[in-house]
Amino acid sequence: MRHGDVTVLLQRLKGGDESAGEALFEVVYGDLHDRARRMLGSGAGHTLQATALIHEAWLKLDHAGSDPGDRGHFLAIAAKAMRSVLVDHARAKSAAKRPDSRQRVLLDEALAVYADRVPDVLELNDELDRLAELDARLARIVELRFFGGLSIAETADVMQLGHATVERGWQSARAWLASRLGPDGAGPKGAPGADGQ
Amino acid sequence: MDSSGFRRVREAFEAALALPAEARVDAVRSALRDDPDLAREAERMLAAHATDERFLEPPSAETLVDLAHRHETHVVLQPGAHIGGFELVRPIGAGGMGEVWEARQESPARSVALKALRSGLGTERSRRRFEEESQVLARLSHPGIAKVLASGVLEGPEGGPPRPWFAMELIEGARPLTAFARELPLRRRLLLLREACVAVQHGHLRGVIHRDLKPDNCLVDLEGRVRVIDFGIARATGETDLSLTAGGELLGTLGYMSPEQVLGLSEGIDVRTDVHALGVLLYHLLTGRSPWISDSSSWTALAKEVCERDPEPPSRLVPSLSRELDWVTARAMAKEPDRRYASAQDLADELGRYLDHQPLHAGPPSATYAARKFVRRNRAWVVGGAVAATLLLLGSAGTGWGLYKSVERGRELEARGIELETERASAVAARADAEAARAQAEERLERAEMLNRFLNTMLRGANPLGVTTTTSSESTVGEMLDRAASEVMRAFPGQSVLEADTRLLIGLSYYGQGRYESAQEHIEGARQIFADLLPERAFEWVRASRLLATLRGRRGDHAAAAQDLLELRGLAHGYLDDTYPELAAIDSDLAWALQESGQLTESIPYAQAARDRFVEFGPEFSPMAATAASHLARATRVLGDDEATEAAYRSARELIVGAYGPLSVQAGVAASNLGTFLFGKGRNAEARELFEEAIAILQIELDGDHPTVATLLYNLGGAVYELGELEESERISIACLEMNERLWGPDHSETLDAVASLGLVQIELGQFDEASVNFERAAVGRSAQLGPDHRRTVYARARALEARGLADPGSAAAVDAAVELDELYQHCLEVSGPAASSTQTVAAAGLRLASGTARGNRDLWAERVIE
Repeated sequence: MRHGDVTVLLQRLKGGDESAGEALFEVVYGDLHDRARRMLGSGAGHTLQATALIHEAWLKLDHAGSDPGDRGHFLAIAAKAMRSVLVDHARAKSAAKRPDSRQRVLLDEALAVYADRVPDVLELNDELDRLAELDARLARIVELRFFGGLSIAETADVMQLGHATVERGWQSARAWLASRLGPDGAGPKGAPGADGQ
Repeated sequence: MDSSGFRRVREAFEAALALPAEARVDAVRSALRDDPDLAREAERMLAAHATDERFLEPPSAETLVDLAHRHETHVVLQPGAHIGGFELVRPIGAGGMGEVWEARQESPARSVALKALRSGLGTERSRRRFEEESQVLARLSHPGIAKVLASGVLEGPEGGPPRPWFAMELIEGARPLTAFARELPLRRRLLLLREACVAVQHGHLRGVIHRDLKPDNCLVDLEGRVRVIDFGIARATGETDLSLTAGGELLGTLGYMSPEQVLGLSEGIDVRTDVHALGVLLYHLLTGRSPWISDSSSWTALAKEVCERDPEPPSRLVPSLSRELDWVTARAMAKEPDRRYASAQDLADELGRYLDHQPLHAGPPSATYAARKFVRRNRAWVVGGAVAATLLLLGSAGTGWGLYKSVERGRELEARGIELETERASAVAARADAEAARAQAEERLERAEMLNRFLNTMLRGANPLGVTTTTSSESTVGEMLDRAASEVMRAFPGQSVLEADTRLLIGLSYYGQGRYESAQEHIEGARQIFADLLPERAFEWVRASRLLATLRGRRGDHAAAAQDLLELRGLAHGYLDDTYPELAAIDSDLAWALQESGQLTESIPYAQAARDRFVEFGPEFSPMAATAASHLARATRVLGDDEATEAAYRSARELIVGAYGPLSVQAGVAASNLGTFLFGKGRNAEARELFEEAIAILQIELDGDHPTVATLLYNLGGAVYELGELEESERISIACLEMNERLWGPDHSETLDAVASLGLVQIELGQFDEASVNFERAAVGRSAQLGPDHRRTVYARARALEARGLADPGSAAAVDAAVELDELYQHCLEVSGPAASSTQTVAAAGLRLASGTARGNRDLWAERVIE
């Protein structure tokens, strides 16, 4: 990913250009995919690759722009990208598609990281969409916190909300999602663990 | 449920959370009593909130990695399982490398630590290596090393890769070294580290490098003895050094890695890699913290720091610590393995010396070692790896350097540095963290390029053996230098060695620019610092001293320069052996200074020695060899050995063209030198060609005021005069004079030479009044510098009188001039004798005046002239 592109897109996004958000997402998304492929190509230890994938995705954010506003936008988009990558992969797995066995291993690992915290990434994805309909702000908090790995403070910063607001919102969203995904919830259950299928 | 319903649920839920747990359900029921569906929703949320703490917990880097591991574990270990002759009892640890279990051995009956590694042995080859290595490990036997008792592999299910395991001594109640030592007195801490060094040395002597020394692997048992665990396991399992530590301890371990490990240079890993880790441990023991300041969440930043930043000296964090311990840690943790202690034993011995209050082997750390080495090598353009990394210290000091325009002729050399960087980049990129490494390499490459360009210019100028050049628009280079010079003082506050190194480089660069005053200021500043660091920094001190001495010559006082250099020569041979080209450089500069002050014969042995030594040093030094050859040629010419002289000039020119290219300034000067010689031998056509070549080159290359241009203009004007092209010669002479005045001011010897040469042309052109004024000016100036009776003073005075007389032959002034000239002759006769060159110049002038004006006694003057 060329930082120049990102900077321009961020500028456009700030200027209210909605299409720039999509374009930016494409850039980040594509970058994550490329990154995953390249790392696998190097033939080194899997685990580090998974870590590096995540770290690198985050690392990009530091370079995106010195303007805190830019950074916020970028964090949000990176979180969205992570969500999308993982969901795509989970979807491919459940459809028993094996596009690239080596890439699968990497994304399996990345997915495993999340799978321990949520029974089923696909379910979570669906429920997050539902939550967004009920309360878009809560859904964003989840996206930033869970997929973006941001702390409460960072999330508050990005969303320009108070610390307490984010904290309460996070608890509500989490509880609501858990009630629908967890064992006692009303929603469909996913098998726990990474190799859940 | 719609969004307004959800809002109510949410509000009820959040309000309830503020209450004690047992009151919450009632609270939401009460708040939502009008809508049982919403109330149930809120209740479910409360239940979910209470039961599942981990749900959606944002993953930290550590947990991400941990979980990935668990996912990858193919063989599940459980209590009661039997592995080899061991029965698993309970897990006692898990980390990046795998799981550690307490296990029971039946015979002999004892508890052991069984470590089942995470990674599989995928190939037959890796399996064989594991078996070989584990045999080596089993032979390690030292009280400071936890013994490997047995090893084997667990076959994976469904043909999955087998997992290697080791059974090791279980060290009861072990604590990490750093944790154990926290409250101990300094002496005890150092003794513990020395113990660790000795244990590590034992492994080294048996060909095993630990590769992963860190507090968790350097334990202290209940008896207070150091026990190193996991010795050599990294290699036995064929892990790359990065993935070895890819576990939850990734970030913790990275902080104990050496630069060569971080860069993934597996071929660069040897015992000194462990020395580095021991250095980090030492640092930790001394200060209670890691040497690295990077936030551990940023892998790349930390890796960069490990590779590029010298840590804060421990004594700055803990003022009670001795500076000597700063030196020991700096040496143990040096970025380049060559600069570290050569072995763990050396570090142990050094600690022993410190504890015994004996002098240490380590000296004050020098942050710009690489830059120093760069200078020492003089023309080693190789900028690679750690050298480049360290050089970046300098790069960051001059942010404006990036503006500096690329130097055409430096490209080839830059390309060499870039090639190396690229090579390294691709080697690094082949490693695990490919993208981060590549980005890092690219950034380094970029900065190295920038620095390369800067150093290129500097070292181009670092040839102060007579040929100095500037290679780009002077204003640009000059601005860059001025900025660098002003920054260096505040860039390295309190870091005098760094300041000295940088100021020396900047001084050299000014020198190359011909800005001798600025050069002197910075080199003098550097030399004072180096003088305090003798003999450790003898090389730099000698170099700075030589440059200062030579600068005196460059600024006009050649005799003093020769004297200084002669003294320095004696001192330098006491500090440096003859593997230092610097000694040859002194000889070369000395030859030059002697020649400039008229001691041509004396200069020959120095010029000869310098040339021969530089040729021996190899092609890197051919520019210097060429310069020394030029000095030699100049001197042999005086001896009258025309053949040797011409050979010397031609070989010098060849060396220069080879080193700098045919269109370089240096090649221009060489052409000019050879041309001057040939012209003196009456080989006019050849000489003329060489001069024209030199002019063509230099007009392009040196378009500003520059001492070298001024000198060449002077020579050229003289040559053209001899060729009879008087108007052309006058034009050149005027340009030469003006440049010298701008460069040196009106009274400098160079300026006076130009004044005199212009006067000469003016006499031939019949511009006697102007000639008279110019020669008189030269005479006054030279008298002040050289004395009234010096040949050159007398010459100028005689030519001034001659011109005055010729200006208006019939005038009284002409008569006066003739009389004065006669008096001057008598005076010279008295002081120097009839055949002295000064006396003869007066005689020749008198004869010309008498011939031109038919005044004075022509025959008398003719008699005075000795053929």
